[in-house]
Amino acid sequence: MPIAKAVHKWTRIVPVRFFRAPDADDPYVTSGNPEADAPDPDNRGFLPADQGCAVLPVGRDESLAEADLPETRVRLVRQDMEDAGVLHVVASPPDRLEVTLPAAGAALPSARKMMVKFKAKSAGEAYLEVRFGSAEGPIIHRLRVVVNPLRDVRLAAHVPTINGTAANDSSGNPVAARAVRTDDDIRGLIEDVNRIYFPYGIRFVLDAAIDRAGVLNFTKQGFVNDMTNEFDRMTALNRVAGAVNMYFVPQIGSIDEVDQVGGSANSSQGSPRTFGSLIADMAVGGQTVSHELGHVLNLVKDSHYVHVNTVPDRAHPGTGRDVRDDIVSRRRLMWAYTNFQLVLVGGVQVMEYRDDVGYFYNGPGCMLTVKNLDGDRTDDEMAEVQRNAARLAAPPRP
Amino acid sequence: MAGGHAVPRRGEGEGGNAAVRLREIRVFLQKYPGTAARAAVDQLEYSVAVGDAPPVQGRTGSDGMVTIRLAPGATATLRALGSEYTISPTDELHPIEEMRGVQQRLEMLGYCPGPLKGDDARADAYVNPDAETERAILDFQADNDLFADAQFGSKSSDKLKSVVRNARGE
Repeated sequence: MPIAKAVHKWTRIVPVRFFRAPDADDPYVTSGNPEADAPDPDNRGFLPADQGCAVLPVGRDESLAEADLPETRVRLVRQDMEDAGVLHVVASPPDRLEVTLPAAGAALPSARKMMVKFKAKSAGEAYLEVRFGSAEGPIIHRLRVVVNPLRDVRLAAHVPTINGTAANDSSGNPVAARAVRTDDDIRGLIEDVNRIYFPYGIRFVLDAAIDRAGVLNFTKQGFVNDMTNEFDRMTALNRVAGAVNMYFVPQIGSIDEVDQVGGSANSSQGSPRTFGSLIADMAVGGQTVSHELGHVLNLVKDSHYVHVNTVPDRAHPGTGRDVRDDIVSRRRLMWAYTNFQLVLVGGVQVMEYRDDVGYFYNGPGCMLTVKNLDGDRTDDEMAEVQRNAARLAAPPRP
Repeated sequence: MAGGHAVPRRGEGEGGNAAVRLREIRVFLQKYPGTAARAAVDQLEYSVAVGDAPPVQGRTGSDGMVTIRLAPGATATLRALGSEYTISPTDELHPIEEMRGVQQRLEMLGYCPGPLKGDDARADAYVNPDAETERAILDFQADNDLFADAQFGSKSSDKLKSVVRNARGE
């Protein structure tokens, strides 16, 4: 079916674009859990000018034999061309990436959305080039691929006992006792975390033994008030040097905040002696843990840990809108507090499309930024976590 | 025919009526949106047909441009990328203060916003009409050193207008 173009003087046709591929086989699936081999491209615009395209982070486990390397996948979408156009995907340089789907020499299928799979054969930068007509045809689009060698970061998990006076919530009701995290729960969370961090070249390696011996006496039983010295007292408990220390606790926050705070952390760079993370029992998925580990790795790069999407936007009073409340920001790992409340205009809900940004309905995202746009301090997150992971993974100084 | 030829020439397809004033439409085939030359798709074969005239073949040059000259009321069929594009000129460029005016300019630049809004909703309101338009605004902001928040305030408006105007699109 012809594509209609009503043109005022001139127009520009950009035929295709890359997107994350949540499903392993179906390129029409647009939403799903984070996967190590389905990274989220930083496709905010087309800058920088010398690269002019989106950037896809890809992890590579250097210990694996070439035959065992996993396939990374990404979707290519025809946004302004018909399905009949013959497209090929070519790796450049070919010794860094090996395209496995479509098969060598084969064209992509005649479909609006297409799956592309490849193996990362060496660390560094490369491009997936989309060519028209044949593998030697004109380049009509490119995706920059950054292959990150995997770096291990030690993680020590603790499940302490927190004594204190019996806690009632702000309504005077007793705070229900929480089930203690099992080792399997914790290992499952860290597996989720590693699915999120793998594309950025970071793997958290959990100590074989999970420490359950620590006991602390705090104000309230089962509570850590992270706005007091209880945070530092917690992260000092049975602290393991050369590791990220993570404490799984029933509740975080003041007594008025039952099941309101999923996690808390401080930066290994900003607080080199006390850094660590607390995870509350209400956190049931790896996204919250990954978010807190982002803070440990010095994200958000702001000494006050102000997530800009929690700052009300003065330009739109009365809307409930926060600064930088948009579909790409909602995909970002460090914007986990994004407000998913209904947006009503004149009593009518609008912008429902924002409720699913690729990680299921009302699911926060897991993307770290690769680009550095306009000197934004919240950008360049991949480089920041890699720098701090390298520092943590370095052998201790004598 | 390299380098973005005019297709067809003045008066062709109009029964040889040289008095007819032809309108020039340019279509750029690009790897990425925007007006930078680096975005152009070079060496891409195309054909253009106007009315009953036989199609004219061509190949894009380093600017990725195809030029089409049309008599009033005529449309052209551009075949490229294994696709058929029906090109019809429009005199109407909605004001940039309206969301559909923003969408129209983003479309001109290749950012692929969603379908044009049918009303005159203001562009600086909080509401974006669809995910495609929000993404197009974000992409435009990111590419132009603007704070990428999908809101279309005065800085975004001024920049979009100037980018289109500098490419002689206003």
